[in-house]
Amino acid sequence: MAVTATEPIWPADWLRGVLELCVLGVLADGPTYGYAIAQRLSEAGLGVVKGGTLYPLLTRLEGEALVEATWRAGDGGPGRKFFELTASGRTELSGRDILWAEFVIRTRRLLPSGRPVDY
Amino acid sequence: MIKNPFRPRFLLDRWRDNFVVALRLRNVSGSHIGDALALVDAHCADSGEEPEEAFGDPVAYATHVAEQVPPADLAARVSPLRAGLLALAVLLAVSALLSGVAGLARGGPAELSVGSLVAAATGTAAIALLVRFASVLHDPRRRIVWFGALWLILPAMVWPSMAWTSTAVEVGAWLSMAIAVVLLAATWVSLRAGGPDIVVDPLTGRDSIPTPRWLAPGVHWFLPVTLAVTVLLILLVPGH
Repeated sequence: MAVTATEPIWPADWLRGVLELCVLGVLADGPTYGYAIAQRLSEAGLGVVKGGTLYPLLTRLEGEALVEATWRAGDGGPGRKFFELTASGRTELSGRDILWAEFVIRTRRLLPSGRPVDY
Repeated sequence: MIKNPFRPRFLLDRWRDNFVVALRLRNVSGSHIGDALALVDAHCADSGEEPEEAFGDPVAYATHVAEQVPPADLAARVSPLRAGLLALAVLLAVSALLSGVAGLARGGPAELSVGSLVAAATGTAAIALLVRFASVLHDPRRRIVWFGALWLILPAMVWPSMAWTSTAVEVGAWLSMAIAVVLLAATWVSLRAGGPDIVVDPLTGRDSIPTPRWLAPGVHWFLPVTLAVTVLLILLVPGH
């Protein structure tokens, strides 16, 4: 893992694997729009997620009925598309959340930092 | 959105223009294109980024977007059969109109040559085939073949008209012109009924790419008005 003075730079394939789950996690807090989601991901330390990556993912989630979207007029600017978790989106998030936690536990067992220390 | 002050108001900037064209070529419907375009506008307004910076190459991004949305029902709108029938109607109408005018000028019947009928059949088949294989437009390497075939249509139709001039069908000049008008009117109605698959703004439900007010009626009325004026001018020429 490359580490800068401020934030680590995560390998791109790690982000690809976890981004969808993180977006569902952000949406669990309530309806929001694309740029706000990108901001939340950045604030959480996941780095900058570009629009070219984020919106196709949101469109896919919409196509899978995990998310529903509505356009709302902006204040003096262009409108914003708000995304909201559907009931099946919440169910999916719960299931994946549990799986992800289990995945992290099993992964850590294989890594030196996660192995029990022998005294 | 529009940087160049001399650029017409109804044109998009280069990035958005390339993005919309790339989505069209990937069979994305006007409503989905409008949605994707509005997302680009909203994101760039919020982030202060340029589209190139936030979304990268417009063609690559269009490919990602097209993979996530259902394809437009273009097959029903522009099927090879429908395109062929429309082409046949227009080509027969033009032949009937020209031979009707020629008949009136001679004071005799309208004569459709064997060549003009062969040309109409050739044009019909060619248009239907071009529509059938329009999907190759997605492939930059094979696109040239499609455009090459498009340019070959004209000589393929002109040659039989010049080679086979013997009369195949003979009808009254006025009847021939009436047939032409009916065929053109039917084509016009059919084209209007199909309706354009415009890029729709998801908020307003209107065209995302504002066009001048005169453009849509201008395009719709160009053919019938030109036809009517041409026929009138021919009929008003002294000597009839």
